[in-house]
Amino acid sequence: MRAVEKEVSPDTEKACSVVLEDVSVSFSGNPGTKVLDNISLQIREGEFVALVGKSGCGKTTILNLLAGLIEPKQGNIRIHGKEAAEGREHIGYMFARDCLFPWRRAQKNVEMPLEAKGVPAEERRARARRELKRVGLGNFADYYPKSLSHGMRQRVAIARTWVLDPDILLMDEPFAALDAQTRLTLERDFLKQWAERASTVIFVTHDLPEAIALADRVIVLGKGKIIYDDKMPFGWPRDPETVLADPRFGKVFAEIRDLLG
Amino acid sequence: MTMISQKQSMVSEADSARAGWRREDWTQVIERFIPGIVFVTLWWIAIRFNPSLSFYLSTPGDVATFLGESVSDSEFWRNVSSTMQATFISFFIGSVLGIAAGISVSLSPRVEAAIEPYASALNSLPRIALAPVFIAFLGLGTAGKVAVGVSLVFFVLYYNCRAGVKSVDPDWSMLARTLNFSKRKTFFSLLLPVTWPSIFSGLRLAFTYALLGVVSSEIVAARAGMGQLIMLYSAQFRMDAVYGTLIWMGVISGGVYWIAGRVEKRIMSWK
Ligand SMILES: Nc1ncnc2c1ncn2[C@@H]1O[C@H](COP(=O)(O)OP(=O)(O)OP(=O)(O)O)[C@@H](O)[C@H]1O
Ligand SMILES: [Mg+2]
Repeated sequence: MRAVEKEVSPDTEKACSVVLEDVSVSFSGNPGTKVLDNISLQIREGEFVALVGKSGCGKTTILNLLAGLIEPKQGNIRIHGKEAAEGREHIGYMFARDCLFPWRRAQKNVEMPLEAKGVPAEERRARARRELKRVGLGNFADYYPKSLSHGMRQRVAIARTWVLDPDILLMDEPFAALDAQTRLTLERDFLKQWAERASTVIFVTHDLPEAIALADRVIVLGKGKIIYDDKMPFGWPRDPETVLADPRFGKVFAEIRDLLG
Repeated sequence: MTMISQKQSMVSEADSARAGWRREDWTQVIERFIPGIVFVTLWWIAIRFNPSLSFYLSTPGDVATFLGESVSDSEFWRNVSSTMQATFISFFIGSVLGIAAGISVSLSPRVEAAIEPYASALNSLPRIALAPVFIAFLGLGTAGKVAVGVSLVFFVLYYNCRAGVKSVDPDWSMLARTLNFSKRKTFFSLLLPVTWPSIFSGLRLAFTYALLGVVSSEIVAARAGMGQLIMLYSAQFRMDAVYGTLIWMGVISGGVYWIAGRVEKRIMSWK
């Protein structure tokens, strides 16, 4: 395991989209246990980071911290070099469940984040339509979620996340509930969009091969601490399927799997 | 693949709707009449075997005659319209108050804690027992009956509304928070749409309850109304007229219920 340098110089902080400094989190129900224990972490602009670890190790908690849904007990979070509350302007958060509002058509679901930001109706429609096209659902804008398949609903959710042009994308097991085929398609589409937009991505997954195949860098959490943090050796552009066949994949996979125990 | 098959299935659905009624639809309609026909037949047989029963049961023929004559009986319709007017007014007032109370209580846990014990105590009172009080205060006209109707309708909407608000999925609230929804936006874009189906099913029930309240109140005392007609007819042992009046009541409130169901289907097409 290679440790990543902990000191944050002012220069590198500018180039970092997310910095956690000695962050600890515990919940009121159980103040004794630290869900996150003194975690420090820097993520560069445009980096694609996968976050893995056993169930309950605090992955979602990290995303919730960044999204501002919970506050750290101790420590400091900076986003784009600013206080978290300010820097958080353009964060997109995507869950495992699509969370579409069933009473809204696909188009209207995608428009929702723009409504909250007060974007005028005309522009909203145009942007939502464009995002739906990008995820291949241009012809399904007027469908209610009930008449879309599982994978299509998840793609609407992706469109809803992209529509704000987020500079940081938090994804919590976004493809976990999909079948292997649909999942691969969505992973490919997602990588393509990410390449076009250059957002920072923090991608939580249970699936180690998925983490290795998609990300620039894999971080493993265990018992509230970072127990592995390393760059992946596969360059860009890449296809998730060919990474799985790469000889280096096996080595990385074995190393991390042993850590996960 | 999925997209294509989905589109095809939608098209074929639309096609069959356009093609009009098929044989299965007609059998369905006929099946719906069977219980009614069986009932009337049993009624008729009972009287054939024991004619003295017609004193209580009347006969299908007499009831049909009453229904036929009632159509052009202006006195009868004056009473019907008195009941219906009160029913609609209590439906309207009770619904508006019930929805307003249900939503505002759900928005504030403190208001809820203060009001809820009284609400459940009041709701467990048999409202018909309040009718004499309302009538004593408000008189034998519309106001007294409306008060009884409102006291029923209010709680139907109040409790339906609260159940609706509770059905907000925590994931949706979390999404709303990550998207930085304002309080107002959360109310109109999340809370209201989620609650709307429960409000609507509450409204559907509420009409029946409004009629129940109004007719009960009329039975206790009133200047006019279907409840008074029933009291009058039964005092005169005109059972054909009692049953005929009940049938009219059923037809009117069943009709409103049916129409509300159609409207609901329209509005809630996303379901
Ligand atoms: N709101 C909360 N109140 C109390 N404890 C919580 C809360 N949210 C999370 N926890 C606890 O924090 C720990 C980490 O939770 P978290 O959801 O971050 O896990 P996770 O790594 O995302 O797990 P999974 O892979 O199963 O999603 C768990 O032990 C959980 O019980
Ligand atoms: Mg989680």
